[in-house]
Amino acid sequence: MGKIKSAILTAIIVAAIAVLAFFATVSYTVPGSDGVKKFNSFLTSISLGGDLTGEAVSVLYPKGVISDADYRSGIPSDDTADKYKDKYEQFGSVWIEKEVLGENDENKETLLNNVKHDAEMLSKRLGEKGYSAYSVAVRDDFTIAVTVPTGFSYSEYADTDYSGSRSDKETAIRNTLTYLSFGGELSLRNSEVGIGHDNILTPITADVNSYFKSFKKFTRAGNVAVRVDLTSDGKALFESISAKVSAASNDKAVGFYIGDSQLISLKLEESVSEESFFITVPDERTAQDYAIVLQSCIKGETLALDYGSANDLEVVYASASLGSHAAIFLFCSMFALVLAAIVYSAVRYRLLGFVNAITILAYSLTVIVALLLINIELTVAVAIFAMAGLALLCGANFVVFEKVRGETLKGKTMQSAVKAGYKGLLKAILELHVVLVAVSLIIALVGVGEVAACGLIFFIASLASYILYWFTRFMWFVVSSTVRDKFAFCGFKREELEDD
Amino acid sequence: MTKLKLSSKMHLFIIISVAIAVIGFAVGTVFHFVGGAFFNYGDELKPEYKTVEINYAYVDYSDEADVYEICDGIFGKLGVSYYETVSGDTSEGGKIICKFSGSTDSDKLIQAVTEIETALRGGNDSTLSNASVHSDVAELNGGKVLTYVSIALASAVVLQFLYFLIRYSVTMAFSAALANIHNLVIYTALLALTRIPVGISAVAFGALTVLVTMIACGFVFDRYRRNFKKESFIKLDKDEQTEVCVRESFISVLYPVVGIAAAAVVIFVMLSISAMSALTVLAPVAAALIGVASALYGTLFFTPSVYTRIKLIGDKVAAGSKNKK
Repeated sequence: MGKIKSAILTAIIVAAIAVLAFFATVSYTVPGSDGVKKFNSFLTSISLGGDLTGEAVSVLYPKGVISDADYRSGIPSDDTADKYKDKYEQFGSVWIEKEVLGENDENKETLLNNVKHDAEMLSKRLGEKGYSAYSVAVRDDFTIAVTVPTGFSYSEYADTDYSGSRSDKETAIRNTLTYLSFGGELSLRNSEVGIGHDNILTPITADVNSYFKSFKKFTRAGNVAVRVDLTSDGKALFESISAKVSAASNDKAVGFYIGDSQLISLKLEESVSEESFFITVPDERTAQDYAIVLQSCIKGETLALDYGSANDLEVVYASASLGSHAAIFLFCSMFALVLAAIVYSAVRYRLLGFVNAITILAYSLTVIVALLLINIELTVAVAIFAMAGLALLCGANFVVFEKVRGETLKGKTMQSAVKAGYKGLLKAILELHVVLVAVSLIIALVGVGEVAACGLIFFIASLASYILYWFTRFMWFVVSSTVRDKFAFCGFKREELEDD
Repeated sequence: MTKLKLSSKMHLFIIISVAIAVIGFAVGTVFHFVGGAFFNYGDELKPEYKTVEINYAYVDYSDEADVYEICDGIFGKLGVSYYETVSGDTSEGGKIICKFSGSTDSDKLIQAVTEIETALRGGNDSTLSNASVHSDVAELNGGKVLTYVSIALASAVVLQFLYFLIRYSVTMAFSAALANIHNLVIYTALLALTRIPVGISAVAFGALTVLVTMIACGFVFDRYRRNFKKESFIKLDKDEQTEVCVRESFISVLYPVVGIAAAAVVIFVMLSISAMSALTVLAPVAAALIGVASALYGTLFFTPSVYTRIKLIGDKVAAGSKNKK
């Protein structure tokens, strides 16, 4: 390769990495926006796990059950106090309405079992959300304590984002907890053509679940919806329902109810005769919540009790267990490790270390972009797996560099030594990466939560490592083309062969 | 490294591994019967725990640290200690949540809650500050995590075994599978032995142990495969062959292993500063270090020494079947 060509190519690649690194790490106020708009760097937009940004903690109280604090604060100061006190019975730190418990607490056992059953169902529903970690616990026998990661990005966590995305996310978490705790069976309702007190659209005696195959989140070209797949019975029934509803004079919507709470509404202008249809929703998170709840209902995994509306729910956004600045410290650790790898490369391999530095930066940017685009929650474990990928890449490069050094010591030319070095390790590096890619893919697909996230990031890291291993070879060739002494470029010494 | 004859130390390594495994599992078993859990489960995998929630009004306390001081003083006086605490804001003020192990004395916690409430209210009953103690029984999604991860790791080990069977040899495939199983056993035993809190991340580091083992096996057995093409290598006895291969692949294995260990140590040190406590961050990072150490020991010391014997047996079987023909 010619010197000019090589210099131009190197400059383009370095500039591309520098620009990407700038956008990946630097947040700034958009010029000309009067300080209103802010560009958040890729790094500060990555979703962070509960260990770094804390968790959303909430307690679900079934209808008729209140906390001790609520009970005490609700005691009237007038002469109705005795009536109020007589209404409740205390069980540990909760108070339960006697009406709910029934005569001689005959409903107590049922209530206990229902709470236990609901905790199990809620855990299953939350499991579908793909959180890195979450917990559901039966608290004091009669309530359910739920903990989910907030998934805040650093800009949301530090509340440095002007767009109010933190409050949007808080609303989304509250909605998720509310929707997923909706209790009761699925029913379709319309206030105008529905039958009976509850305005039910389907035949009262029928099992509504038998009409639906599945509910799935659907996204395409920026549109978000819940995709509803019907069975053949469901198709026939929905055609007749939709014909009636679309012909109604005022209420032209089919309401999908869970218990007595409306989850989602489908507005109809004409009858639906397809096996599948879509219900448009505002965002992906909501679509996922709706799909999870509806899908769990048709699988018969319903909650038995009513846990109130979003307004009743107190969600506490707890501090991170690793300290309020844990995310910053983790980012600093990762920067330090990347820097250490670059410095080690530069010290040991001189200008070849610069080539390795380009590769290390390219790897780091790949991981940051992957975390952002695939929306993987960054936790301490995920960070260590990402660093393990960097160790794999550097390890592969250092092994090949040493192999080339070994070849030069045999008296080979640089070109021949590089060729022999890469050829000698071709199978080993390829097979190592094939095994790691396959194994990390299995962990990502079979594992759940944080383990799956670790598997996924290592899958990406292994792929990036192998591609960048060959990118290093390419860049070595490109950058060293401009240099006369290719041995000094790598910090290698050529063995001068003595005449035999 | 060069002076240590790995192949001749097989019995020593087997004794070391068995000792670690037996002591670890014995400690776990004792704790299972005495404390109710084989491992010291982390928050996500704890089946039962107790929670003290302290709500305080901002009109009384503007600084969370003052409330913590009151609570820590009362907990300390009563001899109870929480393993995790978080705090957050509520509509009226702040909330502190302290988690205690399930075996903590409930009466002491109830007494603590009463004293905290009295201290926070300062004789004023109308204040919004209150404290309560709760008993939580977790719906263990952690059990699901363990099941799925076990399936994933078993599939990974089988996949590597099949790959080595096709690309390398039967003896190498068996040795690689043995390395994975051995390293996971050592990792599990060390977790039980050291009583490091085992959370979801510790489970993930079990996967890291397998991945590091695979990296190390990849380098070590590739060296065998390449050396078998050399006449001079074939002429060496089995013990010498092992020494040569481990020596030649040692640095290759060390690069990624040292990299991962360095990452864990740096993250540990930095997060310890952030959390103002080494204990909080110890669990996940220490688990990572144990995983890497298990993988390094198992792959560079235990497996090569055992491989030499497996290879001898394999060669004998091959020779025997040849003679029969």
